[in-house]
Amino acid sequence: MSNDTSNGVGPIDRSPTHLSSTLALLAGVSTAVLSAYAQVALGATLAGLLVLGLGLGVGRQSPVTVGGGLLVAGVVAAGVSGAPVSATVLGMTTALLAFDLGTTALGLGEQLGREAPTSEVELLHAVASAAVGLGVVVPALAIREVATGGQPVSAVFGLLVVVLLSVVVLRRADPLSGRRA
Amino acid sequence: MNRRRVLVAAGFGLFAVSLAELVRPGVSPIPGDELLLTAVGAVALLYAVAAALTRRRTGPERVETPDVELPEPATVPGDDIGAVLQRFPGAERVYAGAGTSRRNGLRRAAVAVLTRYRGLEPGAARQQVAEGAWTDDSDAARFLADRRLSSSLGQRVRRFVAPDSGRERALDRTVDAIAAVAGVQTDEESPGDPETTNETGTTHLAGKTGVRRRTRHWAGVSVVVLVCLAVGLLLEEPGVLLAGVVAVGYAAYARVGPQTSVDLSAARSLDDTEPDPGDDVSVTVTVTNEGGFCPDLRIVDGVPESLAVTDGSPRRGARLREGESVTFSYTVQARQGTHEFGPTQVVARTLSNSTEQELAVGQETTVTAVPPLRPVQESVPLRRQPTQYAGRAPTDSGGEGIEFHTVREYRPGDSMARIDWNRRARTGELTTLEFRRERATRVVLLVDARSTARVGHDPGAPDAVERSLGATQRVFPALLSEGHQVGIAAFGPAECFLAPDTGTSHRQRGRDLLATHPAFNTDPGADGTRHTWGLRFRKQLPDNTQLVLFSPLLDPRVVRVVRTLEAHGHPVTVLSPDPTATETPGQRLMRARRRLLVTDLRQTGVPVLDWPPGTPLEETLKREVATR
Repeated sequence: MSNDTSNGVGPIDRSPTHLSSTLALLAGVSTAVLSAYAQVALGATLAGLLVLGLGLGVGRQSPVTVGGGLLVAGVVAAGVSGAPVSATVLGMTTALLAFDLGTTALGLGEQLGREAPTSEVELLHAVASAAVGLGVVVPALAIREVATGGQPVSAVFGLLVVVLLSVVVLRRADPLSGRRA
Repeated sequence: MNRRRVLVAAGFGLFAVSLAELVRPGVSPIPGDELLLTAVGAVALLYAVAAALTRRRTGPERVETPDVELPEPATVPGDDIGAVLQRFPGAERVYAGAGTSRRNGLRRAAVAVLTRYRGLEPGAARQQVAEGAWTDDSDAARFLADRRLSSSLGQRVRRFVAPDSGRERALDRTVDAIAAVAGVQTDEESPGDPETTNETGTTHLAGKTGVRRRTRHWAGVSVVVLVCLAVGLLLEEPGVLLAGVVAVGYAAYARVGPQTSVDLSAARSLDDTEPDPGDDVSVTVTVTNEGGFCPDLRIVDGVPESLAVTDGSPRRGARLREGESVTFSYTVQARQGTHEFGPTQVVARTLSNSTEQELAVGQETTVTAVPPLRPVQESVPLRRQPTQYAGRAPTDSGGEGIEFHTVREYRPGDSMARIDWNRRARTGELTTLEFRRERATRVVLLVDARSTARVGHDPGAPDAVERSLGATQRVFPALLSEGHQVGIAAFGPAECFLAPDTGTSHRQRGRDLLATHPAFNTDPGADGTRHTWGLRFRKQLPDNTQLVLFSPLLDPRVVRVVRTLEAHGHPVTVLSPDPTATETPGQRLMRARRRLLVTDLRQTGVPVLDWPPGTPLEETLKREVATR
């Protein structure tokens, strides 16, 4: 009886999964490109990209959240400093996607580990999240095209109140109840 | 709930009216005013600030999955110096009424090793400790001295700058000085990497099965919406406003993702449920979806804590449509004993990642590995205690046998074959040759299986109980084939006794008992070995039975048990797998304590075979036979 029962199984690698991490970084890079209309905006998104990459490298949630926040801030800054509307809207989508996919990579890594086969789940999440973003972006840009003549302030106001109301409702909605809010 | 419905209805109405207004301006009764827009922006900003402030400062929450791949590592004895000191043998009464402080404990330990290894009287030893004359190490000497000894300038400076670190350092050096008196050197041998300690999950599915939980995956997205609205309105940037709408989309996605009830079943198959220890067993798991679409299933199979996964992964991520199933397989290395696969743990998430549900599916599977008996190649040094049965243990009396013993006068009735005919021819005297009589003995192999024995010199290596069991499995058949009656018993909270006997079926019974009896193969947890254990054990023990005890000899109790058994006429031989290490001061102190116990036992005439890790059992036995 020597040490023959100890074999080469090391600790489980619980760092973020490769596929989602890569997709998250790609989304972050797209955000940086789309925000390259002002130095402040580009700086913020690049910093966000860096922090996000760092967070994925070390496998921690808080840098990923902060990185996502910086990406969003960069997009808002670009929008304020005169980026085209479509770039701003798409940039917001990619920024939120980067945060979403990064968090997915972390969660999968933590629960299943990097070695486990998870690509089909990751791809499905990525496609679904991207579809949600595009599903909002395309109609929004379309409505804007249609009404590009003279947007009546009253209509904009009405729509804004709708958005605000929906935020209030959504914040109260319980994802556990599983019913449409 | 009602208020929410009203809000939703109002939202939809407003949405329709505004759309109509976009297409044909003037239909809406809503007043249009730039000032109102700014006001909405301000409200949004305020709401954003409030939401950001009241939001819980926690990131996403996830169900944790255990490290099922790794077997539970052995603990190295001596993690807690205080605990080692508390049960340090000997010298208990030297410091009457002394407190239980660490310093007093160390004083007691120092006196104990000084009396044992330097031959000092307890009084003299105590005086040496009090005066600091017992060691060359000035830090150690000062630490245990009764009064302050003069210290060097450097030591004073160090004490002034970092009083705590100085104390810790003195403590460590004192421990090492004590261990050195007992012959334990710093890093005598370096057992493996101490960094390999892993937390393995002992809690499979802690009672939360089936409960759906929020993951807070999208925490913070509504703040993004509000910030976009506020910035967009206040700075009049339509792009930022629309970006806010995108964020609303994600917030809605997070909240209203499709929910279906999860209904899964799992089946597990092993290619061999009764392998030999060390064999690779391939495990195949199939998880089938019997409910609606499951976009994200995170599956972790319930590998027994005692088994290590050697190939493949017991984890799998899968998406399953209705009726679909996923199959994956991995390999575990069988270890002796009975191991139970728990149910498969599944974490089911929704598409949006916003909720997850933990499930335990499938049943338990049992795998039993019984090792073949591989007799040890050396003879086991037993104590002399013959029975009336013929066997191979040499005795001190003459008679029939092989080895020459004595010559004596012929007595009528002596066998013709044993008469020394050469002498008869030479001198005419009739003499009879006496041979060393060989007799069988009755032996019970006693294995120390208490939880205190479940320690090893290295977290990755087998612990002392496993090594004891391995040795028992080899000694048992060896003694049987030498003609002894051999029994097996466990020293621990669980009852296990196989009375000494011989024969093939007894051999088989012993083999199964060692491999599968829960007394050996499950950690009893807190040491619940009753104080009456010795009494009950002696009642079961037949007369004229000797014992071979397999124990790491880590606590005084096992020494007391040995002494009691000796006193009741049961000679004991101890085979002791050494589980101590020399990595930290506590571990070195533990080694010193164990050495003290070994010395004590040897002084009372009990042979102790010290079995260091990494050496074959045969070598230890050979050394013992050679020194007799």
